[in-house]
Amino acid sequence: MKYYRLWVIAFLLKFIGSAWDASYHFKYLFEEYSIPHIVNTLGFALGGLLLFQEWRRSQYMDNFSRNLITIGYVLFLIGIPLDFTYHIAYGIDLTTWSPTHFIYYIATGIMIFGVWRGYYLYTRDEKPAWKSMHTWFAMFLLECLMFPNMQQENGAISYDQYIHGKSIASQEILELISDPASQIFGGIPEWVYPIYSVLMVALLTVLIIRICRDFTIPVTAAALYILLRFVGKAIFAAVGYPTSYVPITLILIPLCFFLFRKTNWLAALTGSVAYFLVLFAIHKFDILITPPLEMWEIVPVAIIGALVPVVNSLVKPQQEIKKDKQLA
Amino acid sequence: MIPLYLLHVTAVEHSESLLWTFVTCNIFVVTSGIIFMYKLFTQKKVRVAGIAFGIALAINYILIAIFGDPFDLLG
Repeated sequence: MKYYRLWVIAFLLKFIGSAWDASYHFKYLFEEYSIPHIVNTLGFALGGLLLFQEWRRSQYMDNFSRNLITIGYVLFLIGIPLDFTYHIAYGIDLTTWSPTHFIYYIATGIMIFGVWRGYYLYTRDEKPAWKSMHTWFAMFLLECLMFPNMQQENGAISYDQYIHGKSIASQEILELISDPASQIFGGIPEWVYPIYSVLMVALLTVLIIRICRDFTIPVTAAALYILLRFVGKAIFAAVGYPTSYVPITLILIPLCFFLFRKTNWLAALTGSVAYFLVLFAIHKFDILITPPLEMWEIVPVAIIGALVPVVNSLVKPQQEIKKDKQLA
Repeated sequence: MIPLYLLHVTAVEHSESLLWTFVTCNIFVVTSGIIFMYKLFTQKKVRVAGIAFGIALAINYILIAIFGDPFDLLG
């Protein structure tokens, strides 16, 4: 188990580094020693060391899981020169939503999935439970999927400070701002935020329930994610760094699946609508500073939320496909 | 639409020859990377593909260290 605990530390370092980096760039443009990137790289290097150990002598995971993690590493390493070229061509992008940044997210997602698959098979004799490391890996995958939203969640508070003349951004950042409403939110239309969140959280929840056959893990993973985001927010606030809106209402999606004890369209619809309505109420009544929202967005949110379990039910498990092929 | 949403960046002047040098090296690393990842996924022998990818990556990273900053290699 120590091997997988070290993977949890590696991903935690990546989580800390990336959250720090997202916050950092709402205050500063360049950094001489890239300390958030160094923290992120420490996690990457620790994971690389653990992966190298598996390549030398296969001990804790099957070969396919090891190869999946390697694919994640290869993709991440490809992303670095592509991101550099993108910066030469278009300048510095102050957004999490740039195409080359998505290579990093996809690569990290593959790494987490590979490690989680290895852990799942390594502990196949035990039923997956929320007290195990399944919760950690589910949380890391959730964080990876939600990371682009940091632009809107940090941007909401930064934009509010900017329009009230209380921006804490450095002069070099303020000089770049010509169209604050668009630049601070990375040029992403506001409807992307709730729709992307519902699609990713519903999809992840349904897949975890399907694979682990447990309704608790997605809820505890979302709770752990929210808790860690609050810890990060408190630290950033204490040291005068830009803070972000913490997406507390995300938990309502896995919570509804947990309460219904089914992965059907009704549970997903209830969770998605509850997520949006509570978020909208927080926004409308100025309880917290959230990314901008419009009421009409509830329609695509509800439709997409309800469709996820429907599509999931249409996809056959691989074993059934194999059986069908054998019968044919 | 795409420049508005995805290429929403700060415009800076750049050298076209430098850009195309990097694009050429990027094509090399992406091609070798795809072959390497395909071999990993299909669980075939990966030694040659891995070495080719390593060479392509080294060339790209050396160029970044020369024309950019070693800290750019952190991603």
